Amino acid sequence: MSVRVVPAGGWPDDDPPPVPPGGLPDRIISDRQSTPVIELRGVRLPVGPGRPRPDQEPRTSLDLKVGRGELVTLTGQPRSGRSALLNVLGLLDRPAAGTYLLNGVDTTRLGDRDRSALRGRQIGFVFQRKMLLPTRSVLDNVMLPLRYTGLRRRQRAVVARSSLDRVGLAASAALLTWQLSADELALCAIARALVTQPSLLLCDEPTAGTGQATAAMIIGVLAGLHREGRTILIATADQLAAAYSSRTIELGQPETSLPARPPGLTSATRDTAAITDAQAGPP
Amino acid sequence: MNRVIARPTTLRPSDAIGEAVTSIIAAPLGATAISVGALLAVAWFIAVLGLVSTASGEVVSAFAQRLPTAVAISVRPSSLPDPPFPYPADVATRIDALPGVLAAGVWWRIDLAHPLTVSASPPVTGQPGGRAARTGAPVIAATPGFLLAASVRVGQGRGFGNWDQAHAAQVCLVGSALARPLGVTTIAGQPTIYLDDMACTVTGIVTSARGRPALTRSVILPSQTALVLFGPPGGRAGARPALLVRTRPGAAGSVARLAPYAISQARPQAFAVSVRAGPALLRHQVFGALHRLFVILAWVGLAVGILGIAGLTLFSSARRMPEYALRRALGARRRHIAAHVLCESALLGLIGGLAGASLGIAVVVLVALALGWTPVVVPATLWPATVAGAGIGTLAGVMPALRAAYARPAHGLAKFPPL
Repeated sequence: MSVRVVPAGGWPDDDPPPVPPGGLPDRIISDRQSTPVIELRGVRLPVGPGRPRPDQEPRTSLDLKVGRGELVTLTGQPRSGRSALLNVLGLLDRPAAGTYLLNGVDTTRLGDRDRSALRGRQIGFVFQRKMLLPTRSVLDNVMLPLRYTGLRRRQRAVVARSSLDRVGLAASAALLTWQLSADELALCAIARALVTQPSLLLCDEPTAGTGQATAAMIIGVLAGLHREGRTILIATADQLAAAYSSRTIELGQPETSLPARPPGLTSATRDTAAITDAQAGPP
Repeated sequence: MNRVIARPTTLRPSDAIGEAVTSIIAAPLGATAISVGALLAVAWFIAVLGLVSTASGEVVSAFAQRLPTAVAISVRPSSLPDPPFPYPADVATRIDALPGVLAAGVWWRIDLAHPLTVSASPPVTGQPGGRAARTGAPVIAATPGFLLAASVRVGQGRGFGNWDQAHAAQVCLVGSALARPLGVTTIAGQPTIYLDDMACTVTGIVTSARGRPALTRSVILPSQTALVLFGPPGGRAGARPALLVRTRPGAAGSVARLAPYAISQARPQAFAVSVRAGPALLRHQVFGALHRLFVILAWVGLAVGILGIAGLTLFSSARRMPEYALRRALGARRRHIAAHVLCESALLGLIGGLAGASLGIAVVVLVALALGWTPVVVPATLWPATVAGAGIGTLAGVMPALRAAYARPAHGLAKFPPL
């Protein structure tokens, strides 16, 4: 567990960021099992569209490590920065300050080619609003990420059908997305996120707007992926999702230790941590 | 440092085109608006170029009507030899053989020591010709070829021909302006006029002569008859034999250059040739100005079209920014997004270009039909114009493509419309 508060001035002298001398090592990111999948060092989240004004500069700095195969839930009040954090973690946005290491690689130094490659091949997104193209079929929507992987259409269709099958939506492949129910939309979004077999799955309220049964199914699918060794970060208020997670990070609240979770869910240690305003200082 | 992070994402060209087609089918209204922009731009371009070609044809035709067709050949006074008739006997045949010559003939004015009196009745001693006599009226000796070369139009009766010429028949033509005062209003009774005391039967009344308008006030005799009645032509200025040649429009210049050699290869310099100045320079200037004006119009139309399409494409791509942001989130690179936008706008431009070329041709044909012109469309402009449609689309898509490619994905996703 390594969520901590860093003053706006930067890292304290007694605990410098663990950057090796001579910069980051050259490596293929999947080589190192010991390297955290996600590592934030003094990251400040970006604000609003355009260049932020000085008075809008976020004052909190985030430090976070998520190990390989962890299932972490992210909670917090609205406007606590959950979506902004997911955007940074998903390489959709760059941090205003600090360093974000993904599988040990400093993503802040990467150009469009590498960031796009990581997004397309190693990160899966489940957006809160599902974000499916309304005039395309379910199959087309699920195939969309594969369009940038170099697979031929026939191969894409096979992989996409398999992904749809996993969430129980194979029968609806030919339907247009506007013909789906809210539950089916959520499942379709999950199928699209899984289709590239990402090692990191970022989910923003994956069960929002779904019924109990579908929510359970979605959590079941995510838990299954977790068991397969994928790293999953879920921003949610869903207690069921929180129950399955290794730990919970709450944004905007002081760090709190929770009692040990009931046995049987996962073997991981369960913590709840918080990120507070930098001016308040570490607890 | 070139690290292997992950295999870069790619977009196959076939996928880019397929995506463009799918997007066009999915949003036909927006696509139609952009295509119509390209259609109008290309149609305007084709129509203007087609109309300028058509109008040019008409201008050329109109100017051709005004090109000189008459060549006058005479003998230079200083080189006039002693023989009174300085041309070879077959001079008309020689000139006729030149390319572009329609007719050629010899003529001269009868020039006696005293002015000839033309009258409609036999002269009486002391009162030649009575009251209807005209003294000093021009009397012309001419070959039948001259009548053709001067475009003499005989309103009543007929002109004289080779038979009259060969037999030195005492016949003549009278110009309408001279016939009236002489009282010759019809040739039904084969009227006779008198040149001094020599009778000539009037075979026709000349109503007009485009090449020599003065002939309507003259008496015209066959040249052989003139030789018999009045002797060979005189040597005074204005009475020397001359040649009149009628050519096809535009051929007068070359005929003028060749004619002296056709008459006499030994002494071509003995002959003076004159051709009325034609409107060639004016035609060139008018045509050049018209062409420049229309070509500028065509390009202005095209530029306006490109701006229009660029605006529409910009609007369309701004509307689809969330979709592009989603694609970026799913692995598309900036260049892939740019390729999507450019492919789509190029495809729409191509469709618009095809339709525009057809519409442009239709406009040219309809306008030409309405004005009674011959439609002229240069085929070489059609395919380039169609391809230009795709070019217009691509060009118009550059700015939207850059905007879409460089937008922050997180901002685009925040605007994604709910399903």
